[in-house]
Amino acid sequence: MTVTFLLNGETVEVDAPPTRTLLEWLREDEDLCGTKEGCNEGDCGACTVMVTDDQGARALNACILFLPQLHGKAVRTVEGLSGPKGELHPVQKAMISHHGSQCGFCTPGFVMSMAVAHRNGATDHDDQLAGNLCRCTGYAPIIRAAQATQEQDVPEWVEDQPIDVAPQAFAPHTEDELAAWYEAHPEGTLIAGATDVGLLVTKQFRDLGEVAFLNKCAELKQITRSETEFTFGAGVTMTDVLEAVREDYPSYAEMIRRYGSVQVRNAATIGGNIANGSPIGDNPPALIALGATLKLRKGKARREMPIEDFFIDYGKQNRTLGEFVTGARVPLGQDALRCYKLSKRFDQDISAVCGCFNVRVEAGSVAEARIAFGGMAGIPKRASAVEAALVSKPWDRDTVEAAVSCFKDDFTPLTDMRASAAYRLEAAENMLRRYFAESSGASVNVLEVSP
Amino acid sequence: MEKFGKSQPVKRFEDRRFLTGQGRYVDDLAPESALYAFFLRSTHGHGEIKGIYADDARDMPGVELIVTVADLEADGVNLKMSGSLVTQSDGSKGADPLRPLLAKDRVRYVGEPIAMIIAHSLSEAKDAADAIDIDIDDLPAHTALEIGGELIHEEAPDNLVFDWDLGRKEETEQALSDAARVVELDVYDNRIICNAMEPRGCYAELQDGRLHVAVNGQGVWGTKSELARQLHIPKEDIRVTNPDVGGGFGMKAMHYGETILVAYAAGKLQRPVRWMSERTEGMLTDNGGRDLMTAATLGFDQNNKLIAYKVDNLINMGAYNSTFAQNIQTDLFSKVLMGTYDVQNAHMRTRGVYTNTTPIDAYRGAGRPEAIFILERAMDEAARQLGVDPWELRRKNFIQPNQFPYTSVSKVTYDVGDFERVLDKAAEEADLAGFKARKDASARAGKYRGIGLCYYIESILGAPTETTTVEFENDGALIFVGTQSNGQGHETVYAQYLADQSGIPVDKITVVQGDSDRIATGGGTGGSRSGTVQNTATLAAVEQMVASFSAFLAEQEGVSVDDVSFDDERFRIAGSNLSPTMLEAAELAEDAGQTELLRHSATITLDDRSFPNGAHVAEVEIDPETGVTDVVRYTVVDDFGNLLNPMIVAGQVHGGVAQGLGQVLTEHVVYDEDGQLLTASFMDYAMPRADDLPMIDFTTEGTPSLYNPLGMKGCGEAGTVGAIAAVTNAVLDGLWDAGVRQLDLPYTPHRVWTALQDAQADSVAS
Repeated sequence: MTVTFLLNGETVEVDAPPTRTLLEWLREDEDLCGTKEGCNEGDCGACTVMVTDDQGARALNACILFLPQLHGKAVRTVEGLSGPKGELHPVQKAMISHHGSQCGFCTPGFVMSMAVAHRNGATDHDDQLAGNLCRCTGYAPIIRAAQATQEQDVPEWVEDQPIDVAPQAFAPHTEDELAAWYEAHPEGTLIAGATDVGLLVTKQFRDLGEVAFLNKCAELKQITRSETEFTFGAGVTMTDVLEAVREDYPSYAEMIRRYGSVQVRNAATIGGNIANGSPIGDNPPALIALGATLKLRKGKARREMPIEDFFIDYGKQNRTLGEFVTGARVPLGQDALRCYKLSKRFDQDISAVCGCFNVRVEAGSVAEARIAFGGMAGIPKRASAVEAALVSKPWDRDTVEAAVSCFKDDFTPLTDMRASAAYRLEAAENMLRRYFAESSGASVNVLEVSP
Repeated sequence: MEKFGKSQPVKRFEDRRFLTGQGRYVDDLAPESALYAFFLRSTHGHGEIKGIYADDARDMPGVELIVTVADLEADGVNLKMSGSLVTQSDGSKGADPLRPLLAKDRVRYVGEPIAMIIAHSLSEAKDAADAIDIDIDDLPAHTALEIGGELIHEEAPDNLVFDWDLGRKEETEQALSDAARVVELDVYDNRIICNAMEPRGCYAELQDGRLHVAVNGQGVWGTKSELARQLHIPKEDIRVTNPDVGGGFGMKAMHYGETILVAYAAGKLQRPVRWMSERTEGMLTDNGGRDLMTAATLGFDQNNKLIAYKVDNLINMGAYNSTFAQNIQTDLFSKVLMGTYDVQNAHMRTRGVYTNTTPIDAYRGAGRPEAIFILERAMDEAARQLGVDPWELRRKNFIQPNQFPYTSVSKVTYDVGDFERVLDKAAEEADLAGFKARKDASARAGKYRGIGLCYYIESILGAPTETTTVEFENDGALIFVGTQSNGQGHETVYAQYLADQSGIPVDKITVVQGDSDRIATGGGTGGSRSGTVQNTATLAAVEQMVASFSAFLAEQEGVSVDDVSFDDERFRIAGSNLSPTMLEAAELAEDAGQTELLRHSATITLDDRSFPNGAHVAEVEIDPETGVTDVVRYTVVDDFGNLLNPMIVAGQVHGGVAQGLGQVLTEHVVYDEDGQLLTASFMDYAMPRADDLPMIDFTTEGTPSLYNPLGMKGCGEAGTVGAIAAVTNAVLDGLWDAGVRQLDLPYTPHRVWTALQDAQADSVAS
């Protein structure tokens, strides 16, 4: 398959197997060894590159980025960060003057993350660099370097633009093409951001067989907003979901801030997070609590379902062969939504429990309750018994305490590395108490609250 | 001429290379034609190998070679990896069981290599590994830090590796029984994984019939010796190189079987072979760090003067003796056993235990962070129990400036120190006086604020001997060094120092390191030795250069050698207009045919080491509702003597603090009872990230060392040595008012929160 993209300003055409990673190709074929492999699973950021498409510049992990995902885009690696005459990029200069590099191994990844943040005017440096690990410097000199460049101009040589390219057979441009392809190849693998599928290749060396890349499919990348709802295409990245929901659903947005890292959110899609059916994906509980509707398609046939109905059992979804998620409709005006992600560390960690609550109260009484959890069962799941214990009851402490005792009817969580079953159950119970406290006006955000 | 250099914060010369992606690490340099090595490793914590069936795998596509221990034995390879042995209290040596290159008869930890597969691609090698059938009968695993349990080596009954002690046992016991107050404390120093950002890797090739091994180590000569010893190759037929290395921290200083095996395969196949560890593979096989349980006992007189100190360590060795492991919590720990305190009645005992876990060896500081952690943790505990201010308790017991040189109970002689002056400076820099107000402000916001002090002293270690060779060529100079940068900025510091001393423009100096063919001997990097030993050797080399060129110029100009002087920039010759620079003098010598003057080499041995010391003051805020600890202020005042490059020194301290702080707040290794590593990826092993680390206020208050002409004290490990106790003490201070008295590391939100809940329950119950 031929893939065409800009590499450090020069057009390259690569004949590559579909699951060849950018990192492997850079290092092995192009002898561009500046981009480093530190973990090969998107956790350390040593392989970060700048990728520009029609939506702008993003930092991505090259280790779990397949070459066909780059078709028509512009890639800039550390070797292309300096100007044509060798002049250093402002972040490179600042890293030198602030002693932000010691052994130099994580450095290329850091400067690429920093250069993307600089180009985009982002100044939340801890968040921007949460996906980059360093063992030598203690980070402070790197943060100082990032701060020092905030006000400086973006060098023109990094202002890449995407290029016009011919369509690729395995990268449908329309939903119709995708539907036709998938109906013809129902055993094939659909690849959007590859943050999950990538690991099957880099860690398990799996041959994925027939694959289709979704990132050219414009319909899947659309976000629309009507009077009553958002519609997210399945291919919308988590970075874009975060921006879209920031005003309407700040609690959901705050949860997404802790979803992976910048590099991961830039690649990962909302559709992928739903379709892979993981019991610990962070989107499904929020979407279930919001009352979202999942849109699916097979061939010409389309259907919709409440998103909770999609998850049947661990590893089993309500999806027929050749059918795929096209997007989700998410109602607006669900002001009561609150999302609580509980994990062992703040950044880039898998949830032990993720609880999302949406309790509508009318005249002091619970009119409707939608409560869903990740990490509590083999699938993202509604707390139906708890909801039933709340509905039509007065929204008060007694009702909440009565409902809390119903969690054990809804869930039999697992004990694993992240948390014990008892801890999970108790955490879920306390999340409901917390939600009640918050709805009663108490401040419960642990990043703001004072006991 | 200022022998200790000009102390300029010169920007690093290597940075441009690193910032533009031109750094070249071992995997960037492997020959294109190299075959790939993959290691099939044990997935069992402990078991008998009943059979290894690799015939099917040998026929698989792309496979060139499969090696098991039987193949190595058939080829006469020396299986035994070396590990140093301590002399036990009874005079005998510590246990010395075979640590084979590939597992023989038994596997003893998850990750132990069983077979090596060499193939044309990594995928083919892995496919072949899948096809190898290994029959293992599980044995119970011994993973607890306890003597006894399922026997791991016949040579070590009860899994006891050694029983070692040092100090005045009887006097200490007597002093403790005479003491007015005795304070006892048990502390666990938690296990970490080094996680250098560049995992381990190497490649081997044949160059003109000689073996060349490139490995990301901390020095080339030890590797060369081991290759010669285990593969029976004459040393002159071996070249070892270290290219750019992505962090070492002691972990990469030690010998690993993969390097030897990859070289063996390259020799056997007469083809280049490469190997690069994957991240999880590294977590399973890189030497671990720390992991010891210590019981400390302190005796005080009625005036709170510390009069006796006793520590009893039980340390985890992992499944085998790693290269230097027996020496870490024994000899190295003992160097700073008594820290900065004037106590002669002290005694330490260390017992090592084998467990079915990855071997443990040096990690940044190696023994000294552990010694200072328990001592400074115990001093804080003592201050609580005695009801005195922890800062005052330390002042009261410091060795006083007029006591130097001071020989400690461990027979280590500290040359200089002014601990009280450094502590005063720390109080000022940390605004100790303002702490109460800050604590009150935190309390009003519902947070617990704590402050923690650690007054550490470090003993610089590693080889005391080093050589610098300077060669003039092409209007410039090459400086050959025996140390090895792992990211500390050696290229800058060595060139800068040579330029300062010789007047050779720094841009005309090239630092050459990490090549056993070009540099005959060297001590590598480790023990915070590099700056001091290497620059002392450079100073000697420059003195030799000045003397040789002075004699040459005197002869050329027909004057007495006393009429020639060198003033940092130029030679001055009485009665002559000739005033050559060092480079010009070399050119004149070359023109005169005196080529022996184009190369100067000096070897020095330091009589003794230096003793960096200082105060770390950590301030934390703890949210009692979540258990989250934030390090909100961090102050370091160090006595590093004279500094060559303050910017690089500050960088070393920052990074060192980050590793100490990571150990206290986030990092933790967990094995299950079968010996499976549960924290085997960055998802489950919590490396500190940007938002975990504070900005650090770093200042120096130096008293130059008397043991080297530069007046330097090493700085590479000091940050870690000071940080562990400082942050620990700060957290415990923050939790004290809430009733928490004892808590093991790491201080994750869960542990802190649980401790607070337990303390609350206890107070309700009582």
